[in-house]
Amino acid sequence: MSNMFLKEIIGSSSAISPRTGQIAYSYVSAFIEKDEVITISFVGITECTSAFCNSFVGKLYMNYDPSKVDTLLIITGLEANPIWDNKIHNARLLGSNENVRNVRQTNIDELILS
Amino acid sequence: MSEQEKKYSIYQSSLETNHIGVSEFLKFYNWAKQYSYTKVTLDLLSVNYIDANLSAIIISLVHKLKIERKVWVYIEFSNSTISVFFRNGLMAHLQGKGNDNDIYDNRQSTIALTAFSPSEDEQFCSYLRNHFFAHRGLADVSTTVKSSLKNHYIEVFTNVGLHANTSLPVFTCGQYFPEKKQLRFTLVDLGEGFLPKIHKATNGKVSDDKSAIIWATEGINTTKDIAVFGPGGTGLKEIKNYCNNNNGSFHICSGLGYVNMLNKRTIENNLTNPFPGSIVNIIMRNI
Repeated sequence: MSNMFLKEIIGSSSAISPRTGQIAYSYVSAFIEKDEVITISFVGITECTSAFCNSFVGKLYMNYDPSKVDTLLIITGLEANPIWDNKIHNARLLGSNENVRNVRQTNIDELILS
Repeated sequence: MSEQEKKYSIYQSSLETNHIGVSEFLKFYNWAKQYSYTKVTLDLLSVNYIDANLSAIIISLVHKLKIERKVWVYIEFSNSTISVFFRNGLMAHLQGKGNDNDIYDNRQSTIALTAFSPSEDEQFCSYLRNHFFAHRGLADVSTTVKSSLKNHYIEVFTNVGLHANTSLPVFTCGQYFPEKKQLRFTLVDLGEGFLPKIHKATNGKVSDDKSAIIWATEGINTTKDIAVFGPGGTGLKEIKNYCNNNNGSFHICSGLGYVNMLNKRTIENNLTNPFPGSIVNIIMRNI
């Protein structure tokens, strides 16, 4: 199992912009691809936005099997910031919904082409 | 027309943070943009009161006229209003000094008018930390509430970077009203507004500015490239919810639409002249 501080991955204590979220997404997705557990700590982060969470966590849940991400990605260090916990929760939901929508569309496309 | 005749006068005695105040400045902008390569005067001598946070709107329109029409705006302020504009940095911006204001705000009622590039997220955070949340008006506000508000304001700023499609500056300004226990904060971008992308994303179903604003604040809708930036659309809704739950007001102006969200109600107003970008006004009460 690997443990990393988010601020070291993104090089900043501000988890704000969606582009920074993409950096975190790219980092964690490498572990998801290898079926390896990764713990990301938000300790040391001073600001966090929905745009960042959607670009990081939401995109993981959108592009990978949500149950797999649940198992392999552990997020810690949110105890002092329930708002951030809520943003991450929303990002998970939004990403999972997009995943379901994409899977359905793929199934429909395959049915039409078959 | 002579130099003396290129003057536009506003006769409202008071300009506040609402669709009426914004409309008056837009009437001026609509008049001024007919000219090019010239100087015009905005006469505010009859205006005895202006919400100082509207400085963000004033300077954004002045900036837009300068860069797009080469129209330079000279503003005449009444004696009753001019002092706050020295203290909050509007005069420094009008004098071409940008964010460098030498005048100290001895009343500590202003949050400096500041210009940011849309990509300057960290600089905006620093501004919030060192100017906004360090303000005496928020001294009694709990750390939890401050943290919540900081999150919300940063969400507004990152929205500009995501959606406004502009490299023109973002202008922010705030004003504290100690007698009313109110803080008014204005953020302005000169981007493409809400409607164009939302019209496209909804295949034409959303076709006016007010509807686009409401669509954007519903919490599940987004026009960003989901494949690149992931799902989303909750940032503005979070601010709306905060204002609804804390007796605050959340105004969004874009194009011809001005939408005021407060106490779980939505009040829609039409503007006669479109705003060339978007304005977000947040009014916090009982602080």
